[in-house]
Amino acid sequence: MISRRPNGGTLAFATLCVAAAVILLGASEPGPIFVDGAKDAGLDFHYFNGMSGRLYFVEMMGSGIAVFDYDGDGDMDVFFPQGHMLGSGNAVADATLPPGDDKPLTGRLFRNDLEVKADGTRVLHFTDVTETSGIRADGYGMGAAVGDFDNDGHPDLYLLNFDGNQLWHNNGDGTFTEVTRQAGVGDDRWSSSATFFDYDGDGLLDLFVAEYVDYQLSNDKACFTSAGARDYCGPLSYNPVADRLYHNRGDGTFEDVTAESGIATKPGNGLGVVATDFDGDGDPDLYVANDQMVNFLWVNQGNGRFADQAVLSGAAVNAAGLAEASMGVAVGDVDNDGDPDLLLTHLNRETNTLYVNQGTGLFSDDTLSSGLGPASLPYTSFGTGWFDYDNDGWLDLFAANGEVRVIEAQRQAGDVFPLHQINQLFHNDSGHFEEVTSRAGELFELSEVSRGAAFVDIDNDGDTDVIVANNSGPARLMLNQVGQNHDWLGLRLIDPRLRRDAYGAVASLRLANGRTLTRQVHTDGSYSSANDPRLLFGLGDDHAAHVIDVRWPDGKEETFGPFAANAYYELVRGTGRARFAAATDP
Amino acid sequence: MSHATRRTIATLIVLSLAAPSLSRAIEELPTPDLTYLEAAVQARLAKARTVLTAALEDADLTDPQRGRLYGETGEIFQAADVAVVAAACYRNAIELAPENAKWHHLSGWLAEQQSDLDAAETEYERAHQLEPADPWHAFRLAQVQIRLNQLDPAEAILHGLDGVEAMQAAVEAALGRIAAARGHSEEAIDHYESALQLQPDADQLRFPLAAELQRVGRPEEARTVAAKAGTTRVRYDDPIVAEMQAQSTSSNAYTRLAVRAIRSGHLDAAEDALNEALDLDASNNRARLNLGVVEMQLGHLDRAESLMRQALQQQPDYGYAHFNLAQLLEKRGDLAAAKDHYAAAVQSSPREVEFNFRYGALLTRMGDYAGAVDRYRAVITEAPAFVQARYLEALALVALGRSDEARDTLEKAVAVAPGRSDLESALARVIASSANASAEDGQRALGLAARLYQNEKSAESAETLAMALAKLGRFEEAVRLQQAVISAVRTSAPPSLLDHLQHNLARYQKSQPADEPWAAPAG
Repeated sequence: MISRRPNGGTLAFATLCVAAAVILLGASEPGPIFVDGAKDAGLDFHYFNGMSGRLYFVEMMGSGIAVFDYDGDGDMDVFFPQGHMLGSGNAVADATLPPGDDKPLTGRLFRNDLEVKADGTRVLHFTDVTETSGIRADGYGMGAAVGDFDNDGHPDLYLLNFDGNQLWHNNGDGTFTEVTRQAGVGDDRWSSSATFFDYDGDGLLDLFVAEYVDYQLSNDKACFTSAGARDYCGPLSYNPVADRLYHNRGDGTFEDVTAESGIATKPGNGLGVVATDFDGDGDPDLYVANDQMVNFLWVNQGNGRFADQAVLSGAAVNAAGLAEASMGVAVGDVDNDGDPDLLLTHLNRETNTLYVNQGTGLFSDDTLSSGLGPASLPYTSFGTGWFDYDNDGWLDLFAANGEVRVIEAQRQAGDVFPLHQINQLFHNDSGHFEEVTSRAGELFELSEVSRGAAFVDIDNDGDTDVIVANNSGPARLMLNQVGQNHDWLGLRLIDPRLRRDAYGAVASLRLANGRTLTRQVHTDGSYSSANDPRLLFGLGDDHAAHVIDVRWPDGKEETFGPFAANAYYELVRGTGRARFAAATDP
Repeated sequence: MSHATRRTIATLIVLSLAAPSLSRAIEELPTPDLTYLEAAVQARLAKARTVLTAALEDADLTDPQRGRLYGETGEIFQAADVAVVAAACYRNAIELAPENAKWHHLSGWLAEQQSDLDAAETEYERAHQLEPADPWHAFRLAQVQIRLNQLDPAEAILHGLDGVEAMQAAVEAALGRIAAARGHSEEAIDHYESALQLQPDADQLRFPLAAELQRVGRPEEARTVAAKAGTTRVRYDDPIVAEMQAQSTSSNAYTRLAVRAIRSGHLDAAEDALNEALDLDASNNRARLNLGVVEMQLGHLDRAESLMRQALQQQPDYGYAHFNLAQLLEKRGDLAAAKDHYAAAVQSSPREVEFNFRYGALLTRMGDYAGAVDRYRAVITEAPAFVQARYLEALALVALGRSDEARDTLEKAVAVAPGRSDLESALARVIASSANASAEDGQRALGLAARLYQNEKSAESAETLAMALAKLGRFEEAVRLQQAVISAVRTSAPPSLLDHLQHNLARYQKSQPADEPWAAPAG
């Protein structure tokens, strides 16, 4: 081997210049955007995937997270689905990666015991209340959806499992009761994501469940890389499965209307789903992200039927006409033009794809010009969400990354689960994105197999935090450190007739500069996760009080306010008045 | 001065001074653990390394010759997907033979696979500078530039590739993409249509074409185009990359290639790849079975059966082998043997839709209607919108005298797929010919039948209408209509159909409704 070395004089001068560079950099480096608060807050959870060397397809999928205020005390609690050992005859001792703790391998419910002191400081603390809650989530957990299906004022929990979904009714006293069978929403196929939404406008939340593929351990196949090495299978190795639509009868039961709705006509590899009014006709539609096949845009026809318009709308495949992996999905008004846009997360060698709503139900793949393309290419992304981390009025983007195909360098290094990657953060500057991962904090230097991501103001301080679920790793609580640098306004939209959050309600806020910010009440999106239903508007440097226009799901429109910044308000349908929410600053 | 600017300046300072020490040197090739690869592949790579080492000992070799040795070794490692060694080989090749465009091209391809578009662009640009007449360097460069949103230079390059037949469809598709990105929908449409004229089976292009047609307000055309969209990509064969990939010695890699070829209908290519796979590794049972499937589709039934049985000898519970062998035996008319293998397939994968469906169809042919119903219901449980399964389930139920259940399943089928005349006709006939109180419904039958007859005045729809009329006691009309049907089909209908028509006519003449919805259950 031939090598060339610099002489001593060159080295010395180079060292001086490096030092100068460090000084330049050191003088300008801001603080982290997020810090990890999981350990200090007692949010101690480690997802166990039950792998034992067989490379079962399901073991690399990981799970989502649900955030919801189960006890009605004004702060968001957290539920983590959990995996278990895979393969008959295998014991936990056979696992390649052991569980992170001694807790039973069931989903865990953590109660948020947020304390806001007299001086305004916040102490975040979680208590594992799984045992007292009555929740026995012992399926192989994929994710969760949240919705008050019986309108009793307490949000309920629908768990998506690889081996049988569960519906847990919130009794309102800190406990839950499983009502899966009675409700008629059990499903032993591989369900991946779900959303509660009122498709027929009767005030009752119906349920859509995205189904992945026809895979069971019994039909597990051996799959290989292009070079012939063993690797995890992908969805194309199995048959797609039709998603399910359940109509809420209002008596605690649901009717499977999949066939009648038209949704059964198109089986897919569903991984993500969001419900929102994409075409602006007043009823919620569904967007389903399908893994490695065309996505679906189920447009609500208003008569109990849905029609897939994805291809004609331009949101089925990317601009090159190629179906992509489509694991996570985020919906939000990215360009502040009043309509919902979409982002889908994909495999490495595919960009994450931005579909911008043109306002007429047509979408344009604007990935190339957005700045989101090349930066996402080396990564496989799952959980994702639009959220205004710095409260400047523009929705930013987080991507939870982790591979699904073996990373050779990690395998070479002896890693037994060689799929880990860093997560990414992108800042939205008036519609163009810049990756800011390198200054987001130490959390973004961690290389993990990240999957679900839930977006939530966990400490009620007016900025959005993120909880990330890692496959075979600890959950991370990413506490936002910069949102407080700008003004904000928080809303909870409630329909008192329904005694719950008004899923599907849309709120708009007009800034002094004439720009209008639009946000919709929803908990779905990301990957297999349920998010904070409250709305946070970042106001930037606009310190004025603001008026809020609300369009309720039934079409009624009201105006509220004006409201001063830096507080949460509850907007109650039919009153046109608002009151301070209990958990805001004193 | 912004943080980003300060950062850039600092980086440049460091790099400019460090540049001399970063200039390329000939690297030692890394030695990663390759035990995860197939034995044949490991052997090939070890041999390549040995050959390289020995060849480099020749003191008389020139730098370009050494470079070629490294480059060719890099190709072997790249074909085996061992990127870390391939990359080092190419770096050495470029260091020693910087004027050889091939190594830049393959290095660019490797960088693309690693999602490093900036590096890929650099390498393709260098290759293009060295060999400006080679269209493939230019084409790859343009593709990467599009992904980097450098539309103007990409477009310029692509226009320079007009007339290169091997890539013309791909060039048109890329120009279409550029036009679409700029919002020039009409121009995008022109390019996509040109690409499809050159490669009509590149049905993946119909997706963006449909979207652009919709955008310019041509929705009917958009719908027509969208209906034919698919997954077959525009084909172009980069000879440099293809030559590298041909170095593969992985049986599983060839199997994977073959599966892709089967999916896109290229059976001859699949056959070649699978034979290669088995030559490399005779124990590759997946390749053996897939080859059997391909041979069956090519009509070589003896060879196909032999391969499938070999696959089962190696793996007795191989569901897909049982399934495909069952189909082959059914083709040959050996229904009993086919049944055994369908049963074995279903036992291995009870929820597999295709296994259950074909098994059900066979049981119907064999007259085991109860067994067929079970299979179709297994299909419907997994795939509630599989209306064909519901239709065949209904036929079997009617044969068992369970017309009420037949009605239920057909009602669901009609709800799932409204407007399907075959389903509506079947439903109308069942409820017009049943004596079961839970099933019979003359009014509904008439409603369905009348609409079907109005839409299309065929012998079939006329017969259905006659059944419905008879159910409601309108026997004279039923008789007239039935006689007209018999007259129309007398010379063309099989005897069983004529018997069925005559049977029902006789009942109408006795003022009785039909008791047979159709001649015989379909299989």
